[in-house]
Amino acid sequence: MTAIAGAGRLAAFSLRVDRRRITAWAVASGIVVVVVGIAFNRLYPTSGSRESLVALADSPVLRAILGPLLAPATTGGLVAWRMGSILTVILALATTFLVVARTRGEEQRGRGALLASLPVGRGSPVVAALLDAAVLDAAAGLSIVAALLCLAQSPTDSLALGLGVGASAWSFGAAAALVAQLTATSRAANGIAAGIVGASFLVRALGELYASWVTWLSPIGWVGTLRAFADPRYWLLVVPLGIGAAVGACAVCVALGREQGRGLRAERAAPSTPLSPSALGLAWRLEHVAIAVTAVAGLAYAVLAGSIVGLFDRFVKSSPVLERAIVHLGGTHVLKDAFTTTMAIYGGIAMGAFAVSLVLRLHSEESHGRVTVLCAAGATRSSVIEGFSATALCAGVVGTLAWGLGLGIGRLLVDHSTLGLARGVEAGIVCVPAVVALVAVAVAAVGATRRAGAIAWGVVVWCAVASVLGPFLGLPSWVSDLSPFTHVAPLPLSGSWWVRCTVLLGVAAIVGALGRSAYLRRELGGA
Amino acid sequence: MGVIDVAGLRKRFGSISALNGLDLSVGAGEVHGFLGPNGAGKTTTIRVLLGMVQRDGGTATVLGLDPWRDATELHRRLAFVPGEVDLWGQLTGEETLQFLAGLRGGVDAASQARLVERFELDTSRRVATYSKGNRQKVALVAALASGAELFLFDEPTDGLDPLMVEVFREETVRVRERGATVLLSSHVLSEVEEACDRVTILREGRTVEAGTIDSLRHLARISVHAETLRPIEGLEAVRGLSDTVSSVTSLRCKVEASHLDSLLGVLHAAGVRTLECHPPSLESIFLAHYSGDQGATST
Repeated sequence: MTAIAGAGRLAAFSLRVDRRRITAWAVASGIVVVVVGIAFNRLYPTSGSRESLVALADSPVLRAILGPLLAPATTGGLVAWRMGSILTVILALATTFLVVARTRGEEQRGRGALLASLPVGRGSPVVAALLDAAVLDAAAGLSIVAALLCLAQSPTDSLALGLGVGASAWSFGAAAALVAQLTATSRAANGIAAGIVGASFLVRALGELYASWVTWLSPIGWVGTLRAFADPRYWLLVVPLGIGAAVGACAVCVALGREQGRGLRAERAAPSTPLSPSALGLAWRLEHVAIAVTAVAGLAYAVLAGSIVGLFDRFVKSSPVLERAIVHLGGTHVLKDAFTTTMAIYGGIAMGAFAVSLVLRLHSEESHGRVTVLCAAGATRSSVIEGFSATALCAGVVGTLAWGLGLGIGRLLVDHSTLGLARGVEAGIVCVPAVVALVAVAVAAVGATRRAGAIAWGVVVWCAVASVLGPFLGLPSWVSDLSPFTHVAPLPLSGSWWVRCTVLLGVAAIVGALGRSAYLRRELGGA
Repeated sequence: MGVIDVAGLRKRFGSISALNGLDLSVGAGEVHGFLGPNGAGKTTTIRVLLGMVQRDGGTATVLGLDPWRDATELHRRLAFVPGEVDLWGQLTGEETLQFLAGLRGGVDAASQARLVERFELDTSRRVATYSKGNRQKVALVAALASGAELFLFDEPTDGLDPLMVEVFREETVRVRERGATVLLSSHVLSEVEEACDRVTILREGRTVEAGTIDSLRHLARISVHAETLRPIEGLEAVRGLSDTVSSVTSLRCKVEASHLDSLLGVLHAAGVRTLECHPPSLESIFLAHYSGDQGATST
């Protein structure tokens, strides 16, 4: 067992390092479930009103995004339907980032060498990270169970949902562990592992509309297969746990044969390319590959997401009741536009998050003392913040437009009408101002404080919560209005859409300018 | 068999060749200096010895074990201090030392406390507030308290102030006195000269010189400055001279150690008034290898 010697001690240590992060995710998961449960009880108090949700849930848009509504009669069943996949996606991302930080992240930061010189096995960091992740997911899962118990739901069903979400999220952690063994940087590992989460979401959506066997290909789909609140099948927990353990074992095997600090690809002598001698030139040089890769990956995802609308006609025709209801609403193209808008906003938030990570790059440049190097070499402070912000802005805008184009191409592929293409592109364009606003907030955070990370990521999470849950939770409108994505004009565009865009861009410009001037005034941190 | 036996070690990283047949042998209880310019392959060698990277060719045994295959077993018996220590900012120094000791399966608490005291490390603070030198001290304390048989130090005094460098030197002597072996990679030649019994000098991934510092001195030239009572005669007959600047009754030159005696004969014949004779410093040996002339011929 020398291969994983010391894994237990390493895991205990990781828990010590990550205890705040783990507690925060667990508490947040429970709170979200309680809030959503209370909202359901308030908005749909009677069984009659809950039955009305069944028809709504059967619309292809909601089937694709949320999965089936199995148990409308219980609050727990409604929570499982509304929150099951979303909680899984969020916890899967949290688990992914945790696992990558404790494996590739340590190696990349040079602490890995110190750890590796101690009597720990080569596979131990992977095992320790997966144990750490298991604690995160178990804590979050049990917090969900506790929240459901607070809502007076059946303990067995609550346990099925909580464990299902936790186990599925953990299997993503195992995938992230494997990815982290193969990529040379933690950033690439995070990107690819998050991409796997996104792909699982789309595959699950495809499974809902096309054929149920496809659902089994997606770890997010596995949560639904447990049938919490509708005669739960606990034994299916074997699927995420077994597959996760198998993938984790693969990661350990790769780690055993791998040199410290290395990825799949060998280092090469890098070609020297000219670099514009400015902060902007540096920021562009550091990020342009990541920007291009993200835009292309986003385009590919969006094509898949957009093409899902092709299944809407088929799905609607399968149920005469649904078909009559949809015709009454104005036909399936209304649904397609609604789905396109929703998907554009999800993509916009994802691209916004990427752009925010690039703004925060400036923050890590500062804490590693590299901003000092730049300024000492003659770059002005304003050129530093402008250069990095402009690069981040470019990433957000290009990514969002690529995403919209992808949605359009996806619709074009299945509809064979250029109207679909145009709708996708439009959806992308109207999301751009919201992404710009998100970047501006991150710039303001970096400008105002040396602890910008928590603020900027908090805003990203807030945007996601407000967009995904805001209208449903019945939050006061001023609260969800704080998210720029609340102001994205819905398709089909009409009347005043450009007014919304202009106002958002104006607000973004003011916030960004305030951040810039704050940055010029505050003290620089350093290594 | 020595504690470290490396012969013909080769390592490539993609198209970059890091080690091209490096030899290194370190005997038990020895403090061995490991010298070379930036990029010569010192850190890569240490990473091979730690089993963090695999060798492409040659042989390497450490404490009689294969460093790649038996890495975990080996790590129980050695301690390592890197030149750049990165730690977990949210932990205190105390917690970090506890954790590192815990992974090792425990260290002598009294010895650790003594080292914390000696290095004047405030372990109650969070590591995030530490300077580079303080982070370095954490790694040094953790390693020196470990009771390992072998210490691998990769530029360990980088970032330490001169007082702490002196403490490090004394502690190195201490671990040697209890029989441990030390491989010390360093740029600070005076430190190596004072602390080390033997040195290995490398260049471009190869060993260019190895031996005791005294034996290396014999390979290099001695600088001589003399003034005489009478004109110096017969200097042409002395071989192995270089950088000669002479007038009628004074001489400044460098001479190979084996020809020092014949030079002194010539000077004695002219009547020595003053004589300065400097053995080569490690620095001059080192510079001689890297300025190209001698290094190129001895490989």
